[in-house]
Amino acid sequence: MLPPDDKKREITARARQRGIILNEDHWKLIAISYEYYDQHRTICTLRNLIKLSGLEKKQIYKLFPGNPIGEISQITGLPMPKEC
Amino acid sequence: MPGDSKEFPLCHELMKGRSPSHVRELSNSRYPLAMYEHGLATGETAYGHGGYISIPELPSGVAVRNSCRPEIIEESAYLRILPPAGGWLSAVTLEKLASCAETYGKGLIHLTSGGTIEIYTTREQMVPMVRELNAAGLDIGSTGNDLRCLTACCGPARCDMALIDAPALATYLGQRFIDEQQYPGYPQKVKSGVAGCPNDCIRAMMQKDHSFIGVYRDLPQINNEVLAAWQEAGGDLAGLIAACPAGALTWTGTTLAIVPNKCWHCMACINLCPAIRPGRERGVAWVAGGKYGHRGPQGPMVGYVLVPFIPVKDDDYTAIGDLFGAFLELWADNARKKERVGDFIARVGPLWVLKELGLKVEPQILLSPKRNGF
Ligand code: SF4
Ligand code: SF4
Repeated sequence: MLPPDDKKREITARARQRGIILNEDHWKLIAISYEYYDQHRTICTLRNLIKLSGLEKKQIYKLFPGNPIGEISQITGLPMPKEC
Repeated sequence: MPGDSKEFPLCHELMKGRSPSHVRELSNSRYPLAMYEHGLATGETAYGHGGYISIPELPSGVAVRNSCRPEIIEESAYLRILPPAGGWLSAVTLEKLASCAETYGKGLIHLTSGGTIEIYTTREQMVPMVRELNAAGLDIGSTGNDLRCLTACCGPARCDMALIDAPALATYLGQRFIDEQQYPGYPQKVKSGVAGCPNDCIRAMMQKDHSFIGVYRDLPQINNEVLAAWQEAGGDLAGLIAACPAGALTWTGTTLAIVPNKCWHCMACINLCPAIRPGRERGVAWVAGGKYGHRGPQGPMVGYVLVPFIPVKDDDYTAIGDLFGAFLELWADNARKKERVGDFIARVGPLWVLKELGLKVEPQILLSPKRNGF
């Protein structure tokens, strides 16, 4: 479930500001995160992201360096859980 | 030495005397002594809470402490280096660490109670320092919700009690699970330790989420000739018999014997008397859930002896690694957010864990689930 086009443009711009040029794999992870949030009202954890995407943890760290879930949250605006 | 006794009088008090002084070490480096003096003067540290920082190339092993006195130091960032198992560091490695601390840091190294090596530096210097450490065969990790460094006692490289090669097992697990130490992705941190025998000098059972303890399954071996010589030299036989926690040692009048079904296979008699040596059937006990931390419903706790004996033959640790990996997956999939291994096992029950892992339930797990291996 990808966000609407205007939201996608916003996400692309925000990612670029953070030094990330979004490719197909990035969008796959973003789509999963949106879908997960829609169902569970909380951002998808790294473990779930690994399982749902089929990508390796290391790959996800390469795509969204530092703190992948934090990056996805910053870029998409999906809120982090309170403890983070 | 930076700062004279007038500038930092309280620090200078702590440098007096012949015993090693931590302040002497701090003052011989570029550590900002004014920060420590502030703490001594006010009774409260000048450092604030910190956290893990995000350096794109370095997913783990980088962290920072905030400063309450930014005019002295803005923040204290540091790298956490994975230690070689068993606490073994050659002079060459120490020199490399020293040169990195000098070049990129404050000329100061911190050996943490968790077993890692920290070097204080700045965010900008981290990537070049890691490159240099990597070239010397060292790497960073062990921060955040990841598998923390694998610690071990010195093992047979130095200790005659060793029943298994603790540093070798820790190195095996460290190498097999290196990604887990460098890419955080668990619900909480996981600490692990390996002790060569139930003496557990590194106190793994009490402070590590996972400990692997060298054990023997047969009976301790008694050499009655050596025993006679020991007694002649003043060895206290009555004291030895009284020291057995299980009352398993008996004296027939001429020989010392062990009542087989009473013996706990501990180390008490072996530690006391050179005539008693550990049994020959060696393996590893897997203890899970130990922690010192007060957080979580269970507070500090000793781990559960989940598997009392995993045989180890020809230094093949594959079965232990498989079990460790399977447990980590099970825990990570079922733990609540921030739930340490001990709190998790207490909540779901050790029998559930064993069933999920397809392991046999040993009677002692039911009778005394947390009994210290010693
Ligand atoms: S735990 Fe056992 S093998 Fe390891 S150092 Fe202590 S006595 Fe020696
Ligand atoms: S190993 Fe422990 S329980 Fe067994 S005889 Fe020796 S002291 Fe007693």
